[in-house]
Amino acid sequence: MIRGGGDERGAGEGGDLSALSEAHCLVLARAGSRGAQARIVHQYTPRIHNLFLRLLGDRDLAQDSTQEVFLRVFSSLESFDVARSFRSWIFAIAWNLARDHLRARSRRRTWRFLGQGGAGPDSDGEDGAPFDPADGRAVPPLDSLERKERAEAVQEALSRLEPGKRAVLLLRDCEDLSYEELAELLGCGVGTVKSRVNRARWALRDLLKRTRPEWFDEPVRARGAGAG
Amino acid sequence: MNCKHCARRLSEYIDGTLDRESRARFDEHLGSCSSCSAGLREMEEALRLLREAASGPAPAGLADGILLALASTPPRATGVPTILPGVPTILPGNPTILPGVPTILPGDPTILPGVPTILPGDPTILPGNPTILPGNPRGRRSGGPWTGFAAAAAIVLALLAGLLAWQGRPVARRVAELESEVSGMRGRWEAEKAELAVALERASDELAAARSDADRAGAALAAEATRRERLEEAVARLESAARAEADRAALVADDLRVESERAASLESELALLRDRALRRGAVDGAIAAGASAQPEPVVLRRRGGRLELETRGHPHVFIPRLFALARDESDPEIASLALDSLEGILGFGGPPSGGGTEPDPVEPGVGPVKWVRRGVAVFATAAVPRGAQVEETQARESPRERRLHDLETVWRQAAGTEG
Repeated sequence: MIRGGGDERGAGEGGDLSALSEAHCLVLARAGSRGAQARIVHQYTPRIHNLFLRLLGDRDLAQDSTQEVFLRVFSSLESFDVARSFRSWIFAIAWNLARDHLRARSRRRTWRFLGQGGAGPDSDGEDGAPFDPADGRAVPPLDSLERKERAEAVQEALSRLEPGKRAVLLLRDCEDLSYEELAELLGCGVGTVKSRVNRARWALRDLLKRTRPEWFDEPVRARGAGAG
Repeated sequence: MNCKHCARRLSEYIDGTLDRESRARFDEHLGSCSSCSAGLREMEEALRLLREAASGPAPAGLADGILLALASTPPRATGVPTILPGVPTILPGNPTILPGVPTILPGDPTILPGVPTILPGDPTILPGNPTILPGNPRGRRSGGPWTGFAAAAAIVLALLAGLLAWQGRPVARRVAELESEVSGMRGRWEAEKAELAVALERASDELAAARSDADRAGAALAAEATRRERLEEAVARLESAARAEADRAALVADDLRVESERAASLESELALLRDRALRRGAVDGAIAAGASAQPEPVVLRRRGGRLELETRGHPHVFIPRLFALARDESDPEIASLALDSLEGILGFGGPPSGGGTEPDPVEPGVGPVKWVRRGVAVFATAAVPRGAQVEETQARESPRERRLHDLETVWRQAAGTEG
């Protein structure tokens, strides 16, 4: 089977490619350079994985989906125009995949509820391992409990948001995509994106304030900022 | 700006995408509205919590696993969600085949007994493909009330398999075309790879050259900075010296001003003294003029290179004057002429040798002096005793002092006689 003509390239190529720009790296990756692919994978894996983790709430599914995103990216890289924003493109692929998962999940929940006697619609219905929002983060021991509590509350609030709002929040405020990139990703106008981001932010604020009103008192806020 | 408008555009305010005018209006409203300012604070806090919670590293080994999967996975064509038109997608992550049909999970290709196996990740189904076999003996997934659905799914899949088999020949041709296309792509990739290698090498050379230029420019810049620093120090020293010189010049100027004032004072004093001296000189001149009103008894003048002597006035006046001139040896010519004149007047010879005009012959003789007037001049002659003739000869030959002595003797005699 055809492998793309880049098998002879070693992983050590990534070191030589570290000084190249992302566009050059993409061209090399498209030509089959394993080093360039490795650099792109290492650069975007944490972000894509984090996005799936927050959107889907399932660690195993997030890992599988991250892998699937990169398979899709490198299989369709030939058609990608390097003049465009690669970040916007790869997050669009991730968002489409996440949306497929969310739709499929809603259908599976229905089947299980109807026929298999599994988890009901009120449960999370996650397929994989339970997700710890503060998992894998190196934090000071004294602060870890409080930080974990905050992370759980935020993840709980995120899970209560609509997927669209959750996505724009994560893409805008965690991945720092611009309004223009979001508009390209979502296929709508910049004004619409601004409106969606604003509504999502207000929704998150409302949810957090409803569940943890003490965090929004001035002294606690100051303590939280100091901890963060 | 009102609270509703503020709430609608609060995100843009936080992101800093508002224009200056809108931001100013926002600031003005937030300064006066506690509700909106609290909303701003709370939204910023919520976003801070979100960023804190939603960041984290990927699981260890995930990226390496992805790379491994990439290395073991052939490149796939994108946008091929369906195998045939009208046939639902069979891909991992989209397990639904038909509405109302149970889920086909990835990794579990067996659906029901008697239904062909469809391996995930290999959507291409060729004629005679051994992955689609009837009567797969592997176990059941479910039974009981789902038997009807399973039967329906089996029928659908059987139809699908038939369709695929029917379409197998074109698919084989398509596969051959795709492989040919892929080999062409590989050629293009190789060419592009070679071009990129050359471009990379060229870029490396340019980068090295640029770094070298930058190093040189940096060194030149440092040298220039050092030179400039030295120049600034020199300028500072010169400025200091100039200030000292200016101070000294100011002191000298003060001294000069004092000196010039003193000089002016001295000039004024000198002018007074000159004025006084002039007045005194005028008085002295008048006195001298008064003194010199008497006629000069002996007048000396040169005519045609010869020195002439003219006597005026009485012999008692000009003869002592002639004696004085004869004794004065500062000018030998005058003294000699005065002596000769005395000898001529006092009877030792003819008329004075320096005379301007030839006088009348005068008889040498004895007795008092005789006076001959010619014009304004009076020539005197003295009567010399006869016995003095010898003495005259002797006198002419005697030294100068002797002659003067003789002449004074004669003059005293004559003057005494006359007197």
